[in-house]
Amino acid sequence: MTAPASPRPDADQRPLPSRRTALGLAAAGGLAVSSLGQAARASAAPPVRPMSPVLPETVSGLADGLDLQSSKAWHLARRVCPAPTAAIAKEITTRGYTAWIDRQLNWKKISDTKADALVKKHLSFATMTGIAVYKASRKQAWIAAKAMSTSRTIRQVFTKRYLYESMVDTMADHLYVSADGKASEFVAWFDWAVLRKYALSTYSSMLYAAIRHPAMLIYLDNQLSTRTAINENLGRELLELHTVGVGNYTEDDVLNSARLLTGHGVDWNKRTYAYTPGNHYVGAVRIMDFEDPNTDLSKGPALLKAYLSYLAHHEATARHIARRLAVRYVSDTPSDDFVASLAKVYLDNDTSLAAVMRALLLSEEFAASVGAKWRRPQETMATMIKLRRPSTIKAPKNQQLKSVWDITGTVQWLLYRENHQPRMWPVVNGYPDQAPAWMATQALLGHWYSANARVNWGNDKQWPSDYSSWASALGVKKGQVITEVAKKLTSTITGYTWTDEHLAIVVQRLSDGGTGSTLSSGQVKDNLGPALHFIFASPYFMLR
Amino acid sequence: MPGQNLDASLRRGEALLHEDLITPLHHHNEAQNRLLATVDGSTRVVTPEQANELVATLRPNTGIDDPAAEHTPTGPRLARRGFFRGSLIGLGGLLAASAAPRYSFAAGTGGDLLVCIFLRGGFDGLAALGVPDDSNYNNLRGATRVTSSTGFALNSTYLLNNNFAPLKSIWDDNQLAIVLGSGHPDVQRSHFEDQDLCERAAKANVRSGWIGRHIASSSSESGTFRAITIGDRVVLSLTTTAYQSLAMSSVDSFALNGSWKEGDNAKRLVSDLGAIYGDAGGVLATQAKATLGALDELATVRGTTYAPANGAAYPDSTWGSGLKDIARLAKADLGMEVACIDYGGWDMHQNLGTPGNTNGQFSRLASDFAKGLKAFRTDLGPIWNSVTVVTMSEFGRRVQVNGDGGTDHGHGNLMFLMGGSINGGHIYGSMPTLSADNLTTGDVPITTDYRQALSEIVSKRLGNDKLDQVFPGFTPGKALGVA
Repeated sequence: MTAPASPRPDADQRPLPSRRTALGLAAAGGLAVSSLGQAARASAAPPVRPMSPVLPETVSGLADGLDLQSSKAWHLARRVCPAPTAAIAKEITTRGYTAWIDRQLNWKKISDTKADALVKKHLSFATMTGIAVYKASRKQAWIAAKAMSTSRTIRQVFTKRYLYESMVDTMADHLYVSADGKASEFVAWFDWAVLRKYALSTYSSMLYAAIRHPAMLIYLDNQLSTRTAINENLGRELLELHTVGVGNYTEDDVLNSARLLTGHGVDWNKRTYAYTPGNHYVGAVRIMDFEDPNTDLSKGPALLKAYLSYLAHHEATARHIARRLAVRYVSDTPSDDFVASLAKVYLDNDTSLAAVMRALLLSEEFAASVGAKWRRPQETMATMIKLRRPSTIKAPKNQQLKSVWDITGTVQWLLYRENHQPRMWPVVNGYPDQAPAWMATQALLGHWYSANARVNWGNDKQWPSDYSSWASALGVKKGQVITEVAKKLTSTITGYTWTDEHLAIVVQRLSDGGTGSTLSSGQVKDNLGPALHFIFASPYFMLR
Repeated sequence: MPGQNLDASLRRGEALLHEDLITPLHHHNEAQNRLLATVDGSTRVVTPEQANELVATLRPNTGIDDPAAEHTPTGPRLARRGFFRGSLIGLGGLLAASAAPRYSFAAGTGGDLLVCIFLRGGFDGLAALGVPDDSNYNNLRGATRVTSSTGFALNSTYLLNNNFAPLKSIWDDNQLAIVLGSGHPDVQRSHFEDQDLCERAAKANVRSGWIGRHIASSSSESGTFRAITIGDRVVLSLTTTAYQSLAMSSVDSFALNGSWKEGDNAKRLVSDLGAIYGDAGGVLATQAKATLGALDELATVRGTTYAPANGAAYPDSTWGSGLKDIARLAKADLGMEVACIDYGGWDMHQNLGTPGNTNGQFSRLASDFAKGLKAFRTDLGPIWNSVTVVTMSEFGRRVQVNGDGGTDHGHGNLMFLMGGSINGGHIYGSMPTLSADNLTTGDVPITTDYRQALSEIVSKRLGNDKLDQVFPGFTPGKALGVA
């Protein structure tokens, strides 16, 4: 078992070392520490310590050594679904690739009653406006932020609107407002009134709704900005993060952007957006090619609308949005040509996000990008939960007022450990979306820990299932042929056809302690867990 | 005009109270802060000195009158942003500008282990510190005040709450320093925002933490254990893309978890993951190798049961265990340069308790805190001479006790600095008499930017003189002399 079955294009001709010695581990199994410098420490020489690689900013070719065999349907499912499964891949095949995409883009036609009902029942604050949640929560409106964060996991597991929910989270990182912090009272409202409303609509409509929402106006301090004490936070981030991006504007543009935005703030009595003319800067403003004499205070709102439309339709914004979507759905290093082609679709379709996504998903670059993305914790978590086949969410009545995090059991804490609780990134730029951020040592350990938790801790009572065990949820039974079980589990869970070598590890785990070719009940009981843990921890599960 | 290197705290300068003359332009990138002055009908960019001069010329009396601030438990809700009267005191060091002298410290030989303790929730400095001769302190603090019978003398002016008595020997040995009136001048009395600000110690568009930037700028060493957080995940202070930090809730738990089938130290899982990730090639294989290597290294450390040295008696608490683990890691010679650990629970809006009652909330935490550090010093033995411990907290607490026997979010705080090579046994920074005139809306003013003390530590104890990278946008003032 020293060389892979198929030759790799750039493999040199020497016999390959065994996998174990390749990683400095003893061929006989167990840990060899010699390569890690233990021997050196025993002597007087300075200790040789393990090194942490400095991760490059972006990585292309995440796992060049793996021969990834997958289907077109699975590739699509892995990329656009929060929790892809074999059932979804089958749906794609049955309906037809393009037809499935079009149906997912037409998300309103897909009924999502189960997910909606669960959120409404347990996390109603996540569906309310600012003032409504303020009243309903007895002035603890910050709970709505946590309710909304919790609702993301529930939707990721139970939704049928896969692409739509994925886009909601993608755009959440773009027009980012942290759930933890000064805008916490309003982020739930922002989620449904801005992100969920416009996720597959036009970016210009989403941007307009976002910049006028209390959540954004508070988070980026615009509510404090007045003509005599201008706060540039939103004025800058609107250009840097939301639209044209770094390098496309000057500091004067930032100043004028901030001036233009003055007056747009919050009415704290009604807890809603309000424009205060008295706070608005008067005088000519010019941002890139947009100018306005801005002499009439009462025209502030119309001016904002015109400015945001200009920005949304700017070619640099088109490239920025195109790149955001390409990085999320295609690869960490999309080509400039590809980004430019998507930008053109964006502009040709009045900033339609759906149009861009359609072009993206039907592109050659997408088709050729199998295994080019590294999964983030929310995705692995939602998938691991979903595979256990929960039937619903079970929580005490009004739990959102008492202990909102408990509604999803241990999941919140696991996501916290992995630094990916929904909408809880502490900085204005949203969660990073490239592999290095999510495959650092701490991240690998975090995922392996979560995988163990989902498999070996016993099911969270908050996620009851009609299936009493992982075995029944996965259809694994005594008497099944072990090699077939290994193939079925690996391919239905990851969507890749594993190499014989790697399957052999799963087979070994399933067989442990037995000699037969079929599963005994003891093997089902004791070995499925370790096999599953390994599958979840494997690179195949992480390569999206 | 190129971006002026202005500390955002200039917002609190006197000139800025005259909005019709001087317009502050807040940039979230501090380096881009500017002041605009309208002079003779035209607007131009001015330095803080020019702004102050202009105002002094045109408006000799400031007649400061802060708009009525509605006070809430989490701090005052202001009609206007940032104009605090009391903060005018001692501002000289804070009104840094490109024209002001830039102090640099001769970098020390460095090499200290930095132990950074974040006291989460807003540590109540005035519950720790007693000011018996200040009638304001005695009146406003009421039963929570520290008196000569409930505190020990630090000097002729200040006492330290007796529940911190385990620190007394460190103080007496001149290895404990206290900085008064310290903090980040931009804090807004909000836990999340202010912890974020204190840990990043830079403006919003800088996504890294100060210790992460120290690690990145001090050397290109990539040893796995350079920086460790004792906790569930890496603290924000250590964030940087240039180096991967580790977090562990304890040394003993830093292992792969798996079913019993995986064997000791989950060796079967390690082996199988090593095999499959090894085949993945490229960055992924290197990453996995580093990860498994880290586990392996710690397994060796864990192989020996740890016995604290010199009779060190750690308190039986998460805090005690955390410090003990840091000592263990320090002695394991792993190349650890930084250890970060949090101590939470300080957000006592109610029932602070009194210093004389050892069962009070604050007393219990103070005692645990101090006992842990005393044991830590004892355990380290001679290593202590190359260890520097710093504390920070997102803000201090209001001078006046509230109606529930607790205190609400405040502003200026105190920092503890400890180590074998710290210039201890002294109080640094300043705190005025706590009369209403001297307070910023009822809070201790920030008279020393916490980055001042940290800069001296980073430079002299850690040997890193790239302070402009560690604290971008901050100009150190005259050295306090803590290190």
